[in-house]
Amino acid sequence: MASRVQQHWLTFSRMWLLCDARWQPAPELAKRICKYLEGRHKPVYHPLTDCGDHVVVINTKEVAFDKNQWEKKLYAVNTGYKNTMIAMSAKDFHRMDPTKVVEREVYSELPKNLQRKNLMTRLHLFPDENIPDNIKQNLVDIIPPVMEPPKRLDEFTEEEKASWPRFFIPPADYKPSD
Amino acid sequence: MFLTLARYARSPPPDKWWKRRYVYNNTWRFWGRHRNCYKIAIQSMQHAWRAAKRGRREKKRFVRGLWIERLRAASEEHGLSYQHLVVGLDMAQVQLDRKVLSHLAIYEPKTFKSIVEIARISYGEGLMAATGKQPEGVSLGSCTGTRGSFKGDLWSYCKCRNVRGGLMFAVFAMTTSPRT
Amino acid sequence: MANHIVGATGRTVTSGFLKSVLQNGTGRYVCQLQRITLKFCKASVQSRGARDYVENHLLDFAASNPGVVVYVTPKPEIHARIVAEYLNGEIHTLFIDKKSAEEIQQHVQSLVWRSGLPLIRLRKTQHTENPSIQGQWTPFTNRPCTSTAALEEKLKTLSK
Repeated sequence: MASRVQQHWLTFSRMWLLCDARWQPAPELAKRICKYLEGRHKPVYHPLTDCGDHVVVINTKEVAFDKNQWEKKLYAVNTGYKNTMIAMSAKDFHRMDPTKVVEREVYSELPKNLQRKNLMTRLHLFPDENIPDNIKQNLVDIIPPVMEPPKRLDEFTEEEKASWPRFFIPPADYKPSD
Repeated sequence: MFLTLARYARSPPPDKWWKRRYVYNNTWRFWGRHRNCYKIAIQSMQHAWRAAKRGRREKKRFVRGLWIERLRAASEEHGLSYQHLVVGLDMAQVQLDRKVLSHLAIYEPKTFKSIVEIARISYGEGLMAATGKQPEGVSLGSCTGTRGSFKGDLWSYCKCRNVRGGLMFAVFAMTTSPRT
Repeated sequence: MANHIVGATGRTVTSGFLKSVLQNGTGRYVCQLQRITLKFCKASVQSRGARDYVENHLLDFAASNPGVVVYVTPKPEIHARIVAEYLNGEIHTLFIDKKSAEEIQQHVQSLVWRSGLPLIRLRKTQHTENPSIQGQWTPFTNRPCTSTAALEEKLKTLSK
């Protein structure tokens, strides 16, 4: 068995977790990412202990909002000049930088204390599937998705389409009206 | 006793030094004039006492919340929710509290894993009993404890503990699929 | 009582954890009290219990505790007190004014049983050097040390 010091380092070792943001609702995804950033998924969790993990989020440009939140939701953005905070819709904000929406959602979801900026440094956001190798080699596990992304019709195979349950089977001479 | 006016006039005042000494004993760690000047010191001492009393109660609340948070993390690691863990252990008449369970989850992880298995079986058994199916695997419901009417199924458990939501669920389950 | 700790709140009192002197008592027990000095007045009313203790109980105590050196020093007009010196150099003074002989006997017994370590506020009432038998929880207890199968599968779908 490891010594006491080794045991301590092992217990509080940091993990690198992969999270796929493809077609995931942004607020719920942020809530789940925060759980792992703060270390709430560990039985040794304590709010004053720095026991959080690194989270690598990919496909942030394909993140989702429900209803008309892309138009309705506003983010406060500073343009860089003095006294120029403007309200930008989520759609424009996302178009400006595809990682910003997830970042802002996670930032607002984290506890509002001095640890917030330290925790944000352990969040790594990538707009697409490409991860640098130095980050990719650290990955250990994935974060389970908030919801399974639905499949498009062209992604189904022919067997799956044939075996799909149907409400009624139209007769051979059935012709839809227009 | 001040039997005469002359003795009353001559009686010494209460010892101011010891009165103040008591306050300074309690404020010796405070900052600046809060430890030296009596008027400020006694105010800050009373303030510290109020905060300490409040803290004694808040500490218990915080620690219990922390146990629950840790148990939620530990049980979800084994694929069981916290609610199912607690209810399942209660149904199996395992009377470990949250403090001991969270301690086991950190220091004796293998023991905790088997405890989670007990909770899972017991909770599933209760559901199966409510829906009229026979339990499979290890039978934990056959033990008879101090709760007389509890026989291991969800129905009698709800009757025992007067669980309202669970009772409604059991009634619903039994009316839809009555026990054979 | 000897175990009284001065302080209003948690911060004014030094706090710590339970300790024992070199695991005293797991094998054999060594009494940590080495010397005890009884100071009292021969004439005052306050020291009556102390005088009573010296007359009736002190010889029995010295006979039953051969490892403890006992001094009796009467001094005029003094607050009666017991000065206990321990193996680690600590000195504890206990005032026994207006106390009966039986009370003093109990206090002396508590001084004998003490370890001589300073009196502090205890954060926990129990302590162990080896908290875990099966090994403490780590992120790898319920998960492989290398990447999991789910991650491998995910990376495979990404590389397509």
